[in-house]
Amino acid sequence: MGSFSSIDISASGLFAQRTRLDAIANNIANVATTRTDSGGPYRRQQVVFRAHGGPFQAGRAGVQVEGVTEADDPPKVVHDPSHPDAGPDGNVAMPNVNVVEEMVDMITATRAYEANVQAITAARAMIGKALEIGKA
Amino acid sequence: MRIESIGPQFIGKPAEVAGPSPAQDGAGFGDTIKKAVLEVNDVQREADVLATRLAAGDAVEIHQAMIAMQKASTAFQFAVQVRNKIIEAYQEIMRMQV
Repeated sequence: MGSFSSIDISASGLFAQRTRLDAIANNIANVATTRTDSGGPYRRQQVVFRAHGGPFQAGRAGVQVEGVTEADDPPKVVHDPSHPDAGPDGNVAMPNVNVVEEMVDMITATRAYEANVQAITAARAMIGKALEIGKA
Repeated sequence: MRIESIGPQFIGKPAEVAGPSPAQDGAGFGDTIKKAVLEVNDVQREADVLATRLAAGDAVEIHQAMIAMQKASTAFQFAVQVRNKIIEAYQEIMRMQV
């Protein structure tokens, strides 16, 4: 699409950062979830990105979401005998989600999103300038 | 001094005068314009569909709709510029002294 290729590339970045924010939101929402389909507490999820189509070529670039991985650091063990999922020793395995880390990731995702929007604005400005060539 | 009338040196060979040659490659100017207008229309329609789906609550990202609208507006602005150029050329010819 020629003139719009940089906008398309930035759009893929926007989508990637939105997906990342979804994962962060999911992590925060499940900060105290002890039951999952796979058994055990919720595990922190991270989105993995992949550059689109090998080395950069004009018109065929961008980022794509490769998939979602689960962090394998051990669950936080909290002593809470009254918890329904507490073991015989009164310990509960809580998700390995650290809210502070999620907040920091949220900031970087937001800023990266803004940067992509800024790139789109720049591309728009360039196209606008190119259209001015026609004006007397 | 004798002024030559317009003789056969000017009007002798009408066959060589290049009329509007509707394209060796098959596509005339009108076709090109038509194609361009249709393309602009396609982009506009895509933006329209995305905006409608977004409003209807489908799984459409806001940035997708915004970018589609931006592309539509840019394509339209380009079409307007092309139109301005055509009108300009037309008026230039109409102003020509004969």
